[in-house]
Amino acid sequence: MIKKSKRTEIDDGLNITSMMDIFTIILVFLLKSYSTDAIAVQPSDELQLPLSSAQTTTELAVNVVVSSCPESVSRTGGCVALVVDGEPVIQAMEEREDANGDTTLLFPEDELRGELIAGLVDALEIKADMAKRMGERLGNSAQGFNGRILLQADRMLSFEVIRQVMYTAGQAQYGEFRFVVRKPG
Amino acid sequence: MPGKGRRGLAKDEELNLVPIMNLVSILIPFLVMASAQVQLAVIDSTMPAISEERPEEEPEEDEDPPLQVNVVITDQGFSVRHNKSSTDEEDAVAVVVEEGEEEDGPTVPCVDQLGQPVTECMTVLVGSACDAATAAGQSCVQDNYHYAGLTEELANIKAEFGEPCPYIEGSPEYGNFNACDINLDESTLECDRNIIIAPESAVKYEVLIRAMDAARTESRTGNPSGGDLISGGGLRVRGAEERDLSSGEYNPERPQDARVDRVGHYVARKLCSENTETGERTTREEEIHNELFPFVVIAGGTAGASE
Repeated sequence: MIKKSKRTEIDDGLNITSMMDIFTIILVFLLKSYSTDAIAVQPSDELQLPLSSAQTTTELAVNVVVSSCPESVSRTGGCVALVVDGEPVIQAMEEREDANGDTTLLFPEDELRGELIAGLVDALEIKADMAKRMGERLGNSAQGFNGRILLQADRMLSFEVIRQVMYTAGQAQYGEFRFVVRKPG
Repeated sequence: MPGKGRRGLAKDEELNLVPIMNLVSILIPFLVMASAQVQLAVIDSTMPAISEERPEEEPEEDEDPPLQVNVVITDQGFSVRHNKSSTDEEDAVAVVVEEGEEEDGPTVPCVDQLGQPVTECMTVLVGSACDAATAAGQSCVQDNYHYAGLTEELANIKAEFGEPCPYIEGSPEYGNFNACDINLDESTLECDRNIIIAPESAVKYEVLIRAMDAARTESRTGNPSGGDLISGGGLRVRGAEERDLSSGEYNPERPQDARVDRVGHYVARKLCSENTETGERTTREEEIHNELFPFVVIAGGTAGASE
């Protein structure tokens, strides 16, 4: 009896050991390549990062996301023009015609004080404060304020928008910029 | 005895791998999905030179001030300026960027696909032309900026006026340079690796990023990823001996080939490395891609912020 059952076991039992081997290797490989990027990018039509040959890897910093977000799309909840670390600051861009008759997307006038984006400077000052207190608490400069900003911007935005964001960030003590770009391929 | 033991083992039931299999087969699709993301990178840049007042240029005693290169991006193309002149007429005047000052036109005008200069740098295709471009996987907005020309121009300037870095091969000091004598930090030893880019307000962000790529690129053919590619073909610069002359197109007598020494592609560079156990510091060499102007400062132009 015992002998018989043994034989059937060998014949019937699916040998999954080799499959396990394969899967374990794949699993380890995928876990290794699983990116724990500092940035969460949600690509959309309104936020297309430019391509670049840059190779520097991303690091942890305050995320500022600027999209080409016209009001028509924003109203339906399709996009938000300016987001700081996941929190919306400005809902939509304003469409304005330039001298050549082309429409460009710019920040709405009433959000601006000269070059300064009022909502952004407030949001960033809170972030800077928090980072500084965190650094003091932990007594660790690596955890503290480093003045670094990761800027994700749509490739078709005009430089005027970028400049206003950079200027505002500079006023809020964020002086080191990292432009987030896509690697080709 | 060993026989008995083996029989005992065989009697044991085989490890039940089915639950683990379930787990693994769920994890794998999840991880495959998560890993198929866009590859991201970042470009560093320091604070833009927007300030309430322009820094006063003090007349310096220095006979040979560092090379200062400015690229103004207008809707006509790139205007490259620098503070050195081959004639000694202009005496090392700091370059002042002013919008709308371009009477002579851009130094690197935009070109169309056939290489002819055009005045319109961003062509927006409409209607059927746009549909055709979309079908071909291209954008409806055509970018006519001449990035390769910009790289060429900057390579020329760097080759003619640039100071070679003491810690990068090719400089006169390289042989005696001890990287551990000084606090070697790229920011303290920039040696003509800085560039100021000043785009006009209406210039697209993408053009700025591509201009930064063009300024940094290590290849005169304008192919940033192909570090070994240059016009001579098959030329890999790593000291004079290792030049590949097989293509026959390389001739150091020609100025455009001679500047390869400076602009370079693969060059040796001295670094200071510290042994973590003994604390001993030694100078070592490393082969790097020599980049044209890797440190970019973005100037905000003059609109609004200054004055």
